[in-house]
Amino acid sequence: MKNTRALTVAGAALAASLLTLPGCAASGEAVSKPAGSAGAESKGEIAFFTPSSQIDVVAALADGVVEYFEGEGYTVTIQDANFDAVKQAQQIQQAIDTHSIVGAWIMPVAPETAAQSLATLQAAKIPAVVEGPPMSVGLEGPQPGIAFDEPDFLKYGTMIGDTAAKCAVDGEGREALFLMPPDAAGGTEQVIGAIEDSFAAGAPDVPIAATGEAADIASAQTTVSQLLIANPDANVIIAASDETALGAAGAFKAANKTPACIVAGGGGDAAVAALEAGDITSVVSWDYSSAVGEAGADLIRMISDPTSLGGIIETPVKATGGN
Amino acid sequence: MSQISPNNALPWKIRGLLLIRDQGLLALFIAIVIVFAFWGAPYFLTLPTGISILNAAAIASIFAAGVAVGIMTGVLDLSVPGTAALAGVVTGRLLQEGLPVGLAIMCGLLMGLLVGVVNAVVVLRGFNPLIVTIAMLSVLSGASLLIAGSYNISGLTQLVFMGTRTYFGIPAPVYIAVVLFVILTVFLKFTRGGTRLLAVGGSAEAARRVGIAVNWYRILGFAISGLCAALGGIVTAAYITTAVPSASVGTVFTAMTAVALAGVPFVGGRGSLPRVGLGVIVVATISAGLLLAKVPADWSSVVTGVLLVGGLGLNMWTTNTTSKLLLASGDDGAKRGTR
Repeated sequence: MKNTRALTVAGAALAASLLTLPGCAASGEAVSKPAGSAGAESKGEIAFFTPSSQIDVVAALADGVVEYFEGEGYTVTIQDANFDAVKQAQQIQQAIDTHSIVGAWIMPVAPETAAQSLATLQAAKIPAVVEGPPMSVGLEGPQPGIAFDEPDFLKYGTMIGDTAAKCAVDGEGREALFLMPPDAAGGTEQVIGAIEDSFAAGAPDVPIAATGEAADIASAQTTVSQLLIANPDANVIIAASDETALGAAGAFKAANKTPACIVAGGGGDAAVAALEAGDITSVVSWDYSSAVGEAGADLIRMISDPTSLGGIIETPVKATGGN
Repeated sequence: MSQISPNNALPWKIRGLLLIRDQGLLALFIAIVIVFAFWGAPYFLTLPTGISILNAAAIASIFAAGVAVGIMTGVLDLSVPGTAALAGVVTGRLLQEGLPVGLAIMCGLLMGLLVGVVNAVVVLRGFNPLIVTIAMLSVLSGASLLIAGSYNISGLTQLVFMGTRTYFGIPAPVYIAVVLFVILTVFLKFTRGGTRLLAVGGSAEAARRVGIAVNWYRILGFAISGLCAALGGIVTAAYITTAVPSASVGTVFTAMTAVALAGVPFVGGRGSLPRVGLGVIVVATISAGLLLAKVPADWSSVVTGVLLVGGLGLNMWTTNTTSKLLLASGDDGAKRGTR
């Protein structure tokens, strides 16, 4: 009994330390997102339903959405589905049932499963912005109360391929490695096809010697290290995600080699920082910040008239960096 | 008293089964190397590839060591990815705040130790260890994201000395893994504490009856697991000079595969850490071999899963068959003794 009590006390003390140490580590700097910092005069709440806040680009988009709507007098909550389509559907349903939101911004985990949630939102007269074309959620054309932030995957993939090809030709590229994330997110197939086609057309003398797949930076670094052993002439990296690009940059550094170019498709903060540091040559990204303003204005318009047709806004693509 | 067989020697069938259980992994590793020597030629059977495989295996083996010690103690610690993420992020943030490298690393390791102890204390209150460690994984994942502000903490070049730097041609993580495995193996095999830890894993009740302070050894098991997870997290951050706040659940999967391949029973009580190390090398070798043989990456995942089930199946088969044969031999001996 004495032992048990001692253990309980020790446990409580340790738990307290566990909670306080990270706090000390983060002292002097805000560590949580500003979402949900409701003001008394808030016009209402917008929920941003994200597949995962752990994706840099998505986190950046969430920041953009928060900034825009807070500027317009709304509060924003971010709901992370952690890549679980069912969880996301439940989060949306819960928001509808509790009448807690006046508008939604949805980046679907699995677009094909989001149709029901959108229908329920329409029925509840809660307007929404959806990341993706109408077709991805089984709809055609403009819809009442729903605006679409439509990415052009073909354009995105082509821009990555073209940027890599230009860089390979200008930078005397010999062989290329093509790196992909393992997930099958919407448009992945189109993006990969467009990258391969445009790269082959733009740099016909630089073959793609090998392809690799990696989910995170560490495994990408290991994969590229091993691919460089088998393909020592490879000096061009076409990376379809930030993580693979960052892993490739690390692998080249570890091998004491200098790549002719590393082109990343993504555009999260870490990739942008690597670009600024010169570790990555170019970053091709969705320009969400440009789209947020247009789509956000459309959402605010629909909040006042939820039966009006939402717009279809094309998400711009931008390339940053270069030789 | 009846003897199992004359001259105290085990029957050849049992010895064969034990050999398969103990050395089967080595045979599997050699077979895999031979296969890929041809399939992945000319790049597979080279020194750089070998070093690269060792490097990849080193980081995974640090996690595997923690998971293995937990399992040997009778507990599957599923909070390992969360502990790793938290330790990496805490270390990264402290480095950003300008703390000396050694102190930041110590704080990161301390976090792992604390997580392990908290896990243990909660489990000792009678909660299911699986649920407790899953809950802890959730808590730690969230905490890591909060501390990191949901973004990677990059530019941790202060940690390069234990990440990508090589010493005598061997990457730093390999040295760290070797030192860790030596320390833990010596502890488990040659110290009273290690023996008692395994005894608690084998049968907590039996250990209690012989006067072992079971609770303290269960805390120790969790603490070692947490410490290893934290070390793995810091080495991973050092390897990519970035602390990633998201917990990589794949690390536990690889670690469990290695533990299963090493024949460590998931009910605890016994196991060999060097074989766990070999298990991780087998997984890393398959991954590298398939990559160099230009096999699509998804197959690597399939093969790893098959290996996990295969390893568990082989372990179960050898254990059950050995038990049956030993019982049968005992019966025969007893019969001969009564004749």
